Amino acid sequence: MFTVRKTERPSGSGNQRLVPDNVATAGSVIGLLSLPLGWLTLKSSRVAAGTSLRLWEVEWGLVALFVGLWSACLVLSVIAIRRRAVLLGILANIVIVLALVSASIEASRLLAAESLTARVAPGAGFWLTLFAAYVLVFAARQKASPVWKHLISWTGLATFFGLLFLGWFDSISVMQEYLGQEERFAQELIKHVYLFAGSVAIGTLMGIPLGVWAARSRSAEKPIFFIANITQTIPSLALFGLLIAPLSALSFAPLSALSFAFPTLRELGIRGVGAAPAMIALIIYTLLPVIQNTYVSLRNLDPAVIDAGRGMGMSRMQVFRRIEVPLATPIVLEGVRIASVQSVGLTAVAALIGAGGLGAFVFQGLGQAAPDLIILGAIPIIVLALVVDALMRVVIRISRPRGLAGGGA
Amino acid sequence: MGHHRTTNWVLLGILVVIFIALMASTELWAVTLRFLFPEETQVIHPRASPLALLLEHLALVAISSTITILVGVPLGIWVTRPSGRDFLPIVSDLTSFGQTFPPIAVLALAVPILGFGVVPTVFALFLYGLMPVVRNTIAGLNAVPHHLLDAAYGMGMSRFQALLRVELPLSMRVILAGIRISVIINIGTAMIGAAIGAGGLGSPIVAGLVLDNLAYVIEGALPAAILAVLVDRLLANVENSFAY
Amino acid sequence: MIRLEHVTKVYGETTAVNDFSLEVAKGEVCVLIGPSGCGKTTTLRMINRLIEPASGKIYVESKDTSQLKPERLRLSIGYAIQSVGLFPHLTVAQNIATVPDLLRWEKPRIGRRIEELLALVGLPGEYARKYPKELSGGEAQRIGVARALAADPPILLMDEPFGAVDPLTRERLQAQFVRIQQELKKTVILVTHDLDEAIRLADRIAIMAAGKLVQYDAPETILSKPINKFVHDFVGTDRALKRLSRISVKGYIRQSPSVNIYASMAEVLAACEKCRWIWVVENDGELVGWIDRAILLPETTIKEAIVAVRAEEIAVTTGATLREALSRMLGQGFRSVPVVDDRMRLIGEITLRDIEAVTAETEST
Repeated sequence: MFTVRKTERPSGSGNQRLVPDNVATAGSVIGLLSLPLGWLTLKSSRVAAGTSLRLWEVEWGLVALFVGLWSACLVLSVIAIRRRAVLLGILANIVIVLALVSASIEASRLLAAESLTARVAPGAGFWLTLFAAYVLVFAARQKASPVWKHLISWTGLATFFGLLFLGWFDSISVMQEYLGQEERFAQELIKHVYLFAGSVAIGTLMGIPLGVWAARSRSAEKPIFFIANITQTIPSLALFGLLIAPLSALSFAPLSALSFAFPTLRELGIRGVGAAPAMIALIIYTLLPVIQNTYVSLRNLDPAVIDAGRGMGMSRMQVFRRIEVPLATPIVLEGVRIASVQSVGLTAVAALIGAGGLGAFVFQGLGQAAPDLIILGAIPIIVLALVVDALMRVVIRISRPRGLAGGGA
Repeated sequence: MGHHRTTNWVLLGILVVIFIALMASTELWAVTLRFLFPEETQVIHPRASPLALLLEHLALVAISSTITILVGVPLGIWVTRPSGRDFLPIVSDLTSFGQTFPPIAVLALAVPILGFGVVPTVFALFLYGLMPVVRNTIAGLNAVPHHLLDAAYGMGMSRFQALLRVELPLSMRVILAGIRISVIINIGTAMIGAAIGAGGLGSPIVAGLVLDNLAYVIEGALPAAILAVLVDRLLANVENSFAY
Repeated sequence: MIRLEHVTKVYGETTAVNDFSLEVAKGEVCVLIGPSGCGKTTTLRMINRLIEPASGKIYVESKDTSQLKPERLRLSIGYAIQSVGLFPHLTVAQNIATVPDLLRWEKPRIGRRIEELLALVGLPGEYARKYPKELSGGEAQRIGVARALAADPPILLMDEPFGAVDPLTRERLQAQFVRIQQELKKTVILVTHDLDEAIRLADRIAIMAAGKLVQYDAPETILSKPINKFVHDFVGTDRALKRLSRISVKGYIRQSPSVNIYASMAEVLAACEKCRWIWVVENDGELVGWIDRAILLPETTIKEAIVAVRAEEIAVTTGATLREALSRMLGQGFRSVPVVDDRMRLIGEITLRDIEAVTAETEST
């Protein structure tokens, strides 16, 4: 007979009883620490500084609820019971829903007592609470069974979007800002999408042949990569700047003045130099990821596979179409993904040279010192980048030929 | 191999000296820009000399990158140790998630929280620069072959000694690559920082766009481009000295 | 010197090592061998506490290893693994110097030690400045052994140290190991899956199966008296041949008749009445050929009758094993093989009969 001297951790979920979940503990602690921070900020106008209100200044009942929820999470994180992960996940989601709903209700209540120009914005404590809830959700979903895993992961997000579209967040400052410029927002959004999608499309169409060329020809490889690498290193604003000057000299000004000048931009004082230099720069930035990935995808092809194809009697073109293209496509698309996400951000910078897009809100907000306007620009830019990233990942997964190793994108 | 690298260093050294000398000669700038843009009355942005702008920019990048390295590398080390292993998934998730954020958005969001000027810029640069550094530190450390660690522990090294003598030297190249990426992105983002009053090479560009003065724009854009390429090559050279 | 008492290791449902007890004396080479998954590597790694036993005790030089700090224990034990694990970012010299450096030896002492060790493993001094990627497989493995011996530990643990090279290099490395061990007399525990290697290197072999110790004996004993069917099968049906590889020719050299190349035919005929063949030597005793008596006539001269041979091709030296002697015999189709010294001078011969007598001992059990 033998005795187990140390508490070794054998596989299987049974023995996780004894182990505190460090990540969940961290999340719970952050949650508790977030409570004393400013919950909501009340400002008399969109540009005023505003006073920060603590949770208990907003509503005492909430304090009790949140303290209770976080304490329960902390206890569960340290001492375990069966199906702890599911319980933690449910609690975290309750926190999220409670925070969202209560913020909306309290914001409306506060605004009702103030003047028409007053604004309410979520404070640091609110954001930290949501972050802590994210940490808990992350910890919980790792160990939950598949059904619960999806419920835990997506309920919070679903609630957010649900409430958003139902208009529950209309009293929050950012939404107030938005409601004041719905039409313009839509226009800038469309412009932004056209710019980045257009530049990525053109850049891809140019980049793929260049990448193929670099992969096939040793002599072309060095100069192509040299130029592509250098352009990628140049800061975006600098590249925009360097392109404006010669383009102005070639009198692009009339063209840009025609298409993209807006009253608000003249307000900014920026001449509508516009989309032309922006487009060119964006295309240049798309080039390196696409060229590089195309090059790698072709170079990394197992020569034995091509050999087999030729041996079977396929012509060069057939080998290219039937073997090289399907195998190379996921990698090339990966490059397009990187370029796309990058492009969303760069397009935002281009607003500074008058190209329009969501960046216009950011720079205008900076100019007016109106935080809500800044956020109205910044958050959609982030969301757009995330959406583009997610969409591209799905496309990549679809394009991957079945039978290839399903490594993560 | 070392020979090749020494020539690189010498070459880069010379280029750096030339670059700084050119930036220091404001007169040369004035003459050149006046030649290129005869219609402008003022060609040098009055706020500061080109050299001062360069130094401001370097200061922004240097401070934020230093803090990023001091926070990011230990964080990356910690999550690959037994004590921090639980946090590896969430840190990986957050850093790859954060990398998708456009830097301008991070910079913009810093303003409502920290106001205008140097502080939010440095903060945003630090935060955004953290991602590549942490990711590469994790990747580099994870790539050290297990059998080398086995040999190291078997010989009698403690975990700390193995980290210092084996894991870090072997990961250095990848970590430095992450730092290089971080610094280059920061140089670019710092330019936009000029729009929130942080100074640096972005300020003549922004001023130039507002005042419709293309000479100002070039005054900022050209040095920035050269700076970025030089720093990139310098750091790449440092990286290459760790090829085993 | 090393004592394992009732050591057990369990992983979840599987018992990797089961109530294992073993004692290795000072200066002995103990080889752990067995089929895949028998627990030999796990056992090895429990000695230097890279793996902790679930129960049981391990004593190194009479000290309970569980009471020592693991790092201190490992610094005093040499460890060489199959993949060698040379640190690619350090030179050969820095690699070897690792443990002495951890032990804070002075630089001059370390420098001298590196020179000694390179000489010991048969590599020239310039190798100190090379990097691991410049070494061949065999060279890397030798540096690995040098590194393990760097701080002159009394004990050496080796896990398939000669596994990752081609058979020819492995041969050479094994020979070198035997030579080094004769010189240094370390206490060695070596894990291998190659029985021939075990037989060649071990003072005692520990055969393991499914985590248990099956037989622990000297190689000759294992070969001649396998304790059960498992060992019998494991050792294989050519036990007799295997056994021969442990026996030096030295104990079996017979006097063999020989004549000088300048001798007369009468002397040849007189040299040996009943012999079928006679060796022919030069003035200094060097073997140059042989004569078949059956074809001799009184008029024949030696020079006509001699079948000239090159000693290196047909003879074995005194350092050879009976297995090599048998191999030569069979290759040449003779019933005996001459034994020469390092100057190719004839000492005697080994006959097939003698070898048969040795193997008969083995087979009869």
